[in-house]
Amino acid sequence: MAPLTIESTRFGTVEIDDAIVLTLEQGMIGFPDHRRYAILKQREDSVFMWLHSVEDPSLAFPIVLPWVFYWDYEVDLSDADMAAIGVERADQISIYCVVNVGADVRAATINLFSPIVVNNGDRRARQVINTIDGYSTRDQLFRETDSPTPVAMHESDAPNVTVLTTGG
Amino acid sequence: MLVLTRKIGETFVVGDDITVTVIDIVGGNKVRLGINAPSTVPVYREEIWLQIQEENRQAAAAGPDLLDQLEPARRTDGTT
Repeated sequence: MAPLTIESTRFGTVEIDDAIVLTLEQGMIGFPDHRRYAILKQREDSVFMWLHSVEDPSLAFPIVLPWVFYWDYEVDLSDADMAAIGVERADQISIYCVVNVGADVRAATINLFSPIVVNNGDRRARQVINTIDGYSTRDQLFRETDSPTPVAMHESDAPNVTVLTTGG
Repeated sequence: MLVLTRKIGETFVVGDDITVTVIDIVGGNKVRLGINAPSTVPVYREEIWLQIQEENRQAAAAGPDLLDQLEPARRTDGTT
């Protein structure tokens, strides 16, 4: 447990606990040179978070817990991916998906095809390919279809998230 | 880049534990390959990899004001 300072082009200087830092040994797909990230939450009451590079002030990906938007989302992880981050069971991991927002916010998409899987213990993480059929890199974030059970986000779903500011 | 020629049924070996066998040649421009690799070695079609890369690249272009737009959109969304 030690404080660590992230310089962010988006949020200025952010102090985090180094125990929350994620290590993606392969980096995000297409970004192999950046391997250490922290998950930052812009506001306490928002479901949107940032996977923010600890090393590059300008590199950050908007992420969410997929179940907030797709209550029936399923993930099947390959043995290789499980072994790569050293987990064996579903209760050892957290899962996040990258959100892509263009000029039209209502047309925002979520990448359910390649989620980020985190080992809740040692914080190793990896962007993986979900081997369940039917998900794409660009599923609609806001759907027209009904959702039987609105999903609330709980602290335990996304442990070790640094909140930048409260309220809002 | 190494370029080599194989016939149907022939194999080449990558490192100690990966083999690639030409199973069939389908028409004039397709080849079916059989890949044997340890479960720890991911094997993907290149176009899938490039698609994820592009998606990540676009997502990372979002600015800090993004959530101010997204959060109200979510709250007015009938589904959540």
